[in-house]
Amino acid sequence: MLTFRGFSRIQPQLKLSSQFHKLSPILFSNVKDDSSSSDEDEPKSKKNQQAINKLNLLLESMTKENNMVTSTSSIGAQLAKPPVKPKKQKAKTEEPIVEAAKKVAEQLGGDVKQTESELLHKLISPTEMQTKEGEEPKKSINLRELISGMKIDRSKKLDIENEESRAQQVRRILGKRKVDAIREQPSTFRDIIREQQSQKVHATRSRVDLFGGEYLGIFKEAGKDEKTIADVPQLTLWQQLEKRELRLAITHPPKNIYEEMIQWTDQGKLWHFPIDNEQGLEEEKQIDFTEHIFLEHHLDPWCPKKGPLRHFMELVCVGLSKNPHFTVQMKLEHINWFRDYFEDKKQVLLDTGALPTDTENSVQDEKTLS
Amino acid sequence: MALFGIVKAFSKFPTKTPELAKCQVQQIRTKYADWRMIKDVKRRNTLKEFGAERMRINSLRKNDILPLELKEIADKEVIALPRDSNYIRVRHRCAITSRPRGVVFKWRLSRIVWRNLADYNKLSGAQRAMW
Repeated sequence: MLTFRGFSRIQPQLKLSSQFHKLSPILFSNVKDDSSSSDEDEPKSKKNQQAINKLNLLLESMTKENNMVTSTSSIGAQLAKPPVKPKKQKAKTEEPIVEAAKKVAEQLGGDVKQTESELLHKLISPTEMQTKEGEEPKKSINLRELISGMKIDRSKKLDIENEESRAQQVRRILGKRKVDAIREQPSTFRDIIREQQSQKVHATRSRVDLFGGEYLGIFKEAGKDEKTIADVPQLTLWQQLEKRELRLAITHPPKNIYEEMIQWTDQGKLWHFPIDNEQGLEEEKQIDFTEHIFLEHHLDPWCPKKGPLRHFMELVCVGLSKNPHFTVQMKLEHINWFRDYFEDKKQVLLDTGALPTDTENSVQDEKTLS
Repeated sequence: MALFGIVKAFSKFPTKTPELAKCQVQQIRTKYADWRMIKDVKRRNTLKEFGAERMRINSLRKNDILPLELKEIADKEVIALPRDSNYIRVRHRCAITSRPRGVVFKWRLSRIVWRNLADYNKLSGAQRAMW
């Protein structure tokens, strides 16, 4: 019996408390009654009755207690309970069902005994399943029956774990040596566990034969359809970066400043020695200076030999000949622009008299033709 | 390095994008220093396109050999060309700070930037004068 003090602490969690509160004045009424009663006969009968009442109440409370304890909200549920053992089912040896099950199993094929057991269980157990609906549904397959039917596989498998490639062996040995040299003996629990784990034989890959297995024929042969090749998305940037990586792997950074300067010179960042002021102007060097200066011969095909036009164009040529910054192509372009412009404005020139008249023009045309 | 334009950009950037208003760690080298620089760049582009034509037409205008009629036509053509195709409109600003005045022409840098770089030995052949 719990003391009242103890009960008051765990009051909020237990529903017992409310009952006991109700019962307590009656249960502990001995003290009060003793003090109040005076007669001997009357108290005896009263006592008996009271005792009987008390007992009844206690019994009631006890019966209720059991229910209360099993409620999920109470502490009782949280306390350790003994495991509920499943009762063994007495399989009724109903012969027709058994025979039928056997026949079905044989027809189905495969593991006859297993199928048989499963069928029988399904036939028998549904009755039990219906009764206990509130509880969790049991698994239809009884593991014990299953395992009893199975045999232990004693065939020799390749112990994959024990196989180790030579490289890994060497590595392990070397690693161990290093570790032994550096590390101390494992002192803590963790270290011991770590050692044990590392000592476990290293998982190695047995020699895998990729092309030895059967051809499944799931996928169509890729590469035959032209469409599929075209559809395949190309990771161009990735490919570029891969190429770059390869290039970088080959090229080494310069070891010293001399190598760096050589690199710069090759790239064109550094002047070539002996210093030549016209470095980078190799093309211009090949062109003769006469081409820059004598530009009048470009005027001959189109320009009249006399007149304001010729005068103007000769001045242009003089200016160009004195220009060191233009290339020959640029100079030619300059002259040709003027030619085109005057072609557009031919009518105006003829009207004004800048261009010579038709007779002179025809003479010129004849000359050009010849 | 007291690079004023970039420093300006430095301070401007965090306020423009509120999400990145925490801290700008890297220098921003991809932007022009200021709007005046951008306008100058646009002018240079039009100059590239129409500059030669303008120069040639002007040469037709500025002479007393060719007939007047041609000159008049040339005048009209020149006016039709965009204004920014004129070389005279281009301002040789500092490439880093966009300073319009005090630009060392050969290096395209303002004198302050030039001095800074020269002191750090970044300009080939530029040495402190001493004689």
